Amino acid sequence: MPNLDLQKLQQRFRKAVTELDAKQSPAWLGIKDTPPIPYERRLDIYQFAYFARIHESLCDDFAGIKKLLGDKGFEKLCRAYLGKYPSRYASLAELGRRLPLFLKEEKPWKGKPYLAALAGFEWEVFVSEVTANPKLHSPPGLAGASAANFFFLHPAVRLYESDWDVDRVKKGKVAKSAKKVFWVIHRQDCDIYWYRISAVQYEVLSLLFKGHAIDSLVATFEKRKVTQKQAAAWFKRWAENNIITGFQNAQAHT
Amino acid sequence: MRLPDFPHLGFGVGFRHHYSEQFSTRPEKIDWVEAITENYLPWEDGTWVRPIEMLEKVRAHTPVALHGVSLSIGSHEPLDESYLWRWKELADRLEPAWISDHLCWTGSSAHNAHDLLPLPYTNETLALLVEKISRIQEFMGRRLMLENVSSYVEFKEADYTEWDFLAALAKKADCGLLLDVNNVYVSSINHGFDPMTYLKAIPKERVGQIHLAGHRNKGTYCIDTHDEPVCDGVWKLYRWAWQHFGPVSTMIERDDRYPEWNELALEVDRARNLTKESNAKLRPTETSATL
Repeated sequence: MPNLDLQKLQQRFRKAVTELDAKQSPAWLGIKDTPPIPYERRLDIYQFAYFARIHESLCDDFAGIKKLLGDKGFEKLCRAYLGKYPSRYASLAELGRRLPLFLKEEKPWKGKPYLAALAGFEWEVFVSEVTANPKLHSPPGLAGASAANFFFLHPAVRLYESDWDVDRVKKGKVAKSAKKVFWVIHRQDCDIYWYRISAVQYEVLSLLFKGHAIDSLVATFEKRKVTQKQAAAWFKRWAENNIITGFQNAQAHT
Repeated sequence: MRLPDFPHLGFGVGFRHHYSEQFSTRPEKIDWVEAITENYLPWEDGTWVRPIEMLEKVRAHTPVALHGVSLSIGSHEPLDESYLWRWKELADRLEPAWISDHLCWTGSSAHNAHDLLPLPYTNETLALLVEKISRIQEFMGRRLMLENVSSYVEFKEADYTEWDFLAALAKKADCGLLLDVNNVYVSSINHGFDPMTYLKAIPKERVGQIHLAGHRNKGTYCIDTHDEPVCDGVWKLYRWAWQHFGPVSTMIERDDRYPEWNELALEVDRARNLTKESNAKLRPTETSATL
């Protein structure tokens, strides 16, 4: 086919590489059919590499989903996901960002809402693993902090809420939780941890994420009937867990 | 005379996390490393990723070059501005020895195939690349090196052979070339050309770095897998290339089925020893100083 411009050529070639049933004649694609290797085999190499690379990346990031769906089920999911949400990222690491959304909105997976819940949780764990450490704003811990201080949360801290207890879902126990479940995911050195927190703790950590100073949380504590002793114990644990990494006074913060 | 932007750093490896323990200090006989740009780029939402911290520690004792896989410079679409800004931010933070990417395209802005797809070697492609390289070099404030990729298909439309295209591009765009000797070998088998014809056509002064890697030989064709030791055919081409191009920073690129560190270090040693032998065999007029 003469005068196939670069745009048309690339559109056709990308389709042939990324879509399973999109194989076309070499003339249509503008490629040579040179023996001894059939052009179908030449295209297969690109097709295989495309899916293998992406599939491997998603397997690493969503091990729990893969375990629940099995190898074939997970491969089917990956192909469907790429069909709707092809990678638009420079790094493969960001590829799974929209998988929880996809599971939530697409049949047949949306009929099993615990899959979206687990995928969302696995994504947050992955983000927590790869997020860079902060530069220390102040000596670690809470010594010297006052009510007017703003706290810095470690950038690897992630909060997650779900109608499903994802720890149980991972083990194949897919009964819906009687009430919403909340988690905090955090990192100490290179290790990732998560544990369940109460709705009020979730609310307080969310406010800290948004940059609220400790004195602005008083209303929440009063409304939720959190005693000073309880709040102090939470903050102590969050500092020990590297969830809170430092603080800054209001003047410096602004 | 070689471009001053690409000094001869010696012999290195691709820095992969699999070998991070070996890089707590500079490993013996490793002069420099190459790191994959995309593994360290800040994400689109601005998040810096943890691997950058490890790379900065390596950078403190070993020169680092940044090698990208998603620039997609050969795409018909405009350059990805977000990518450029993040790339610049990374390069400014890391101060690499140099920056490089591939002579290829990887998809469209809406669909990155995460693969190094081949280009038609036409005047249209050449003009597009020259314009983009000029923009990149100005924006980054650094000279760019582009690497020849392995390929499995060739396009019917072609105004140049691959080697003539590379030579013309390097001169017109005033950029450097990262010569992957394994890729020349793999493509020569897949497309039936003489790899020596290829190497001889590459302008000496433009070659700033050499890659050596392994591939899978499937009989009638080869697949560039980077998961095997460098084969004898590639070593032979490298020996010739070293004599022809002079001292060029060289590295072993391994991306899968990682061997024990000692095994990888032996390949680096082999490259170094081979160049020592080659240097000894050079006639006085062909010493590195005159190449």
